[in-house]
Amino acid sequence: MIEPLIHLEHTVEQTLDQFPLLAAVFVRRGMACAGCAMACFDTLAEAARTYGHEPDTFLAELHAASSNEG
Amino acid sequence: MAADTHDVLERSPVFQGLAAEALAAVAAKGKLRRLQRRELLFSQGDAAEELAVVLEGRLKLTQVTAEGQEVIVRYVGPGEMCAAVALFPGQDYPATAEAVGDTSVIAWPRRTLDELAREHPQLALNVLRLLTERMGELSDRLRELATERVARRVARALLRLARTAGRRTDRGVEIDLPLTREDIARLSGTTLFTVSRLMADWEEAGIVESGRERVVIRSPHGLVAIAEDLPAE
Repeated sequence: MIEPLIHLEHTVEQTLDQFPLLAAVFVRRGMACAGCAMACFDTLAEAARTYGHEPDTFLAELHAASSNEG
Repeated sequence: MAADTHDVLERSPVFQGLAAEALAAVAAKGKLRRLQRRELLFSQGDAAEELAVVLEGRLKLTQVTAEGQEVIVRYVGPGEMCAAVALFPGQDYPATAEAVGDTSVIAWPRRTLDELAREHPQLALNVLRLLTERMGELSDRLRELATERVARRVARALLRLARTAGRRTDRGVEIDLPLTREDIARLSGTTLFTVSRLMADWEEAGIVESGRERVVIRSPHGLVAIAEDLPAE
């Protein structure tokens, strides 16, 4: 099985460095994470909770968008 | 060259793109200086003789106005340079550099810098790029001072510090340098009274936590929301 490259415990910065086009998912969900000074500290799970989104649903959306990107 | 010195220099943007032998040659020509907490590396107004790169610890760069008010220009951490003004003759240090904790730096006098820049043009290009970036940062701060309300400026100052000296802890993002409310006021161009009032409000809202010379950002998003004027949740 191929290890998924996006994890809830990865930081927002790590994820967006790897998949810049995923910024669109953040924007669509009203999350101001792309380019944020704290993106190197917050994990995807924390960012999702901060904006009141369910982390696993958010992760699934990121996975779907990243497979489109690749 | 000690292994840790080599590691810091290799990661430093000042030396990016330099081959290993070139980096070793540049480092061999530098002078190592160790400073204790509060010791000065140079003082505002003195003739600028040396460019320095921090190896360990941190320097605080301050300027004093004609009225005696002190302003913190910035903090310089490992791998970052200061006093690029020393590249050119007849210049004075525009600020005072004080060690925040025990700090070591490597410094090159102007004559050596001149030779190194000719031997390794990449070095000169790196310094130019860093100065351009610094000008961008200073323009941002000038705009903040001229147009933004004070809460945003203080929030941005804390975020900048967190970005360069932040450490993830169980309590949140801790700014890993001794930082008083007066320091925050000097960084964001406001008064101690205003910073104390804002910090008290933010502590009550669970955004920050501060103790003696220590600040933890409990809610990074909360502070970003203030700095960026994001809509409230």
